[in-house]
Amino acid sequence: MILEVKDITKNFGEKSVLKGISFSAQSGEALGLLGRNGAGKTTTIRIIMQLFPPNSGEVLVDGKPLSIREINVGYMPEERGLYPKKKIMEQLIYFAELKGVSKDVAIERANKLLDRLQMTEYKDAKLETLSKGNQQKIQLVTTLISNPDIVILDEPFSGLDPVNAMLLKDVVRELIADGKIVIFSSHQMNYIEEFCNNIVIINGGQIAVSGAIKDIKRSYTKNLVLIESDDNEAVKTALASIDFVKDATQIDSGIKVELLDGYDIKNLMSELSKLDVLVSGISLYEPSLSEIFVDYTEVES
Amino acid sequence: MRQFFSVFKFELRGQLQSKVFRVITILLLVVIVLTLNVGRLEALLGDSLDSLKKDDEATKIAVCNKSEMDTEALVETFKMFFGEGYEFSVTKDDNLEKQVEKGDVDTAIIIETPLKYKYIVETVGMFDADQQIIEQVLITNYRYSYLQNAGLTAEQITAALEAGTESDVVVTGKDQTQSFAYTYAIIMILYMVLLLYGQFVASSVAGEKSSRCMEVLITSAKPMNLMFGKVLGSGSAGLLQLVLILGTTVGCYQLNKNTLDNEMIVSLFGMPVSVAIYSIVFFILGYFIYAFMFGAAGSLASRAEDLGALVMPINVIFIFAFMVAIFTMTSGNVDGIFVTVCSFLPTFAPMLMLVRICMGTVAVWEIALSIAIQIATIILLGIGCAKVYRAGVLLYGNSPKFKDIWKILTTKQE
Repeated sequence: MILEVKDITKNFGEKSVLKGISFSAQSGEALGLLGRNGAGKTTTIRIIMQLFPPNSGEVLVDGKPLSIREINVGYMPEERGLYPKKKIMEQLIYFAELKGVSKDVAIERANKLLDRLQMTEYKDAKLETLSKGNQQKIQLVTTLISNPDIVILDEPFSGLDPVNAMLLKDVVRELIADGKIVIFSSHQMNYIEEFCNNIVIINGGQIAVSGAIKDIKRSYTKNLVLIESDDNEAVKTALASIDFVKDATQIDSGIKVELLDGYDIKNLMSELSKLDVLVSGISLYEPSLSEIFVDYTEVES
Repeated sequence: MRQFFSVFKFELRGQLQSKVFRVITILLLVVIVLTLNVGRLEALLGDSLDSLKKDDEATKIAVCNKSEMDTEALVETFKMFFGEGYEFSVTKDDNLEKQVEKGDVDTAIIIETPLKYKYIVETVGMFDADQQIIEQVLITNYRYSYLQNAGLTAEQITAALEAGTESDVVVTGKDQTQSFAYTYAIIMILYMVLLLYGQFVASSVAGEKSSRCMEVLITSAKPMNLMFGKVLGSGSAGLLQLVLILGTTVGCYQLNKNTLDNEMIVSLFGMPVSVAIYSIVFFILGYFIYAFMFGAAGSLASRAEDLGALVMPINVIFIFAFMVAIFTMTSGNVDGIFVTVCSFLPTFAPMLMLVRICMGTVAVWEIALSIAIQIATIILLGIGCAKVYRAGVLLYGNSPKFKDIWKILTTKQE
């Protein structure tokens, strides 16, 4: 199954919120939707969930327009919401039934999911008596109880402690292994990096960058080099004498060197070998996702 | 359909499990059982009630006669006309206002001339008939002595004064003196029930909105199923409550038929079967009309606190319809043009058509037309309400304006 979002635009009154968003995701893969606050992540998700129509563009599944009444999409909204005064089990069954799941199957799945998320003891409790993190886990059960083909999680990690975040990560991994399409938005890069093959960074209603994380990192690397040495000062002095070194900054792991366009690591290596400096390691600098994120969203907003 | 039943079941169960619902039901049942068993209770508590009655002192009336009439004869006549429960004293003191103020006597009458008197009382009750009796006594006395002076004999005077008419009343339409009491009761109950359940629907929707579960609901089920399931679920709970209450009422009435002499209660149970059936029909129609409007208002609220302002326009319409119904009943002019027109307007019809059926003359086609208009309105309101509900899911913050609501209603949705 392939979910395609094609050139979606959305205006709220005069304000243009999405200015042509396109990406695709397929079964057995997780797609991370990144962006700063107000970038348009939730608006994009709400359009996929048909909460409102886009001004132009379309959402397709296997080439046909998506209908959430026909294709089972599990949705965990950014604003969590369940019935505060109802018992957990009662509302889980209700939400499952709304999606056409029979009561027996709903109970069976609820028990399994509650057990998986270590929430079995709360199944007869009222939602409002639970902590925020636990309420969030119940929200996840609500999302998954209908066994959806596409799972959309808006900021699933916010408010979870590290142990619960780990549990959620495991569940997401299982969903991917089960062949579901998983789309989630977050600004916690470390989680995204852990199990997303593909990311889409939205900035100011436009796609800043999208694709496989590996490729993005590789293309970003182009003229960045990391030099490791026991004598950083000597290396810095040496670098200062090389005319195609644009910038050199000391970071925890060594010295990050930015080269002028048209030069690469080979040029630097041959130049350094001519100078009398001891270098213990020289490699392409691999930026973290956070760095890429900050770079793209800062520059272009 | 399955979705609709899921919502229906969930709402019905939710309503039946709610504490407010249970408390109201039990409270109403207790009140009804107590009211209708008043006779038995009196018998049970008979002795203590009797002793209470003894404490109930007679009304003291002071009479000061300044005219040439015979005081003793006058007081006798007063005693005769007032009957039991009154004590009369004769006084020459004309500063009786002080005595009334101090509470030495309850009422004082100062008679200046045979047709002129002063009536002193601390408070005049709504249904005070004492003054009327005094006037009757004085006028009768005056006429008697006038006729006596004109030379008539005692027998002739009595015959003239006590002459009466004989009459038979044939009612071809409705006897409003009979139907007023039960109509009044039906309209009052209709008013309370519609307001109560309408508000239930409004706060239930507003609750879903403020707890943000609407976003999950709307992406899981069709708004139409959600709205109709909710309104029908709450309505069925209401109907169940009503059946319980009516059942208890009828049961208690059957048990205590002989001991009840309250005019209202007797009239209520004397209502024709057709009226009872029409009442139920108009209850249900009225409920749907108002429940959908309340539901739409609920889905526009961001928080429970906003609800008051949003339901106000509906409350105004509803209370206005209620006032028109009550004024129509008390004026007795139930088939006037204004009322006739209003009885076809959907927001007025549940009450006004019912008033006309109970107290006026309505053709069957008029009732049928009114019901048809109401059903059509319900369908339109249901669709409109589902639209507003769907659009309301993302409306947070500023209260929407009429312009926005109109836009929602006229935009095509899935």
